[in-house]
Amino acid sequence: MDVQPVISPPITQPQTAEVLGTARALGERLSQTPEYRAFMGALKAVNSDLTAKKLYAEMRAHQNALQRGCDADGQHAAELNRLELEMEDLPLVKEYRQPEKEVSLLFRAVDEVISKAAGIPFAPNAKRSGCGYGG
Amino acid sequence: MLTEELHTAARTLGETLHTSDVVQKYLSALADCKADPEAAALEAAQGIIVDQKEKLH
Repeated sequence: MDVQPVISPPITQPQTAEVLGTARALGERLSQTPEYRAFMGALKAVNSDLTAKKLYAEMRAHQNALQRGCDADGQHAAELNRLELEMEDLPLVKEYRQPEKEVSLLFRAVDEVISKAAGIPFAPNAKRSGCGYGG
Repeated sequence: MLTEELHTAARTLGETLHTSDVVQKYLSALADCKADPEAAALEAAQGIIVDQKEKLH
């Protein structure tokens, strides 16, 4: 018996390609805005700061302990809270907050336009599950 | 706040999504759901959950 090869349908349908194309065009325009550029610059500065990296690593250790339920005496929660305050007190993190706020406002305005035209709330339906700090 | 260029790009994406099969199916299912009293209550509850999640973020 001859076995014919099974030809799979293309993964990307033309309609999906059109949606992705318009999404890519929007993404490219967003990446050229002053708000986005300022945000990315501030984010890069925070991510390459050694003090921020060290604090972040310590925070992750306490977060992991809390997620494992290892905090009967509340020490991990207290230490995490202290480290968060210390992180927020770093000059680079303070400088990061303003562009973060501005890019968020921009994205919300974009989301409103997309949602109105699409007929469904865009951002809540585009969220990935899970949570993370700066991930 | 949005430049005309950005507004147009966002609206184009929204319109493309609106005409896509997946969103049309969703809107059709949503309309059916709203017409069904029991399902409408569930949909309303989910809307509240989404609102609450938005407030938390």
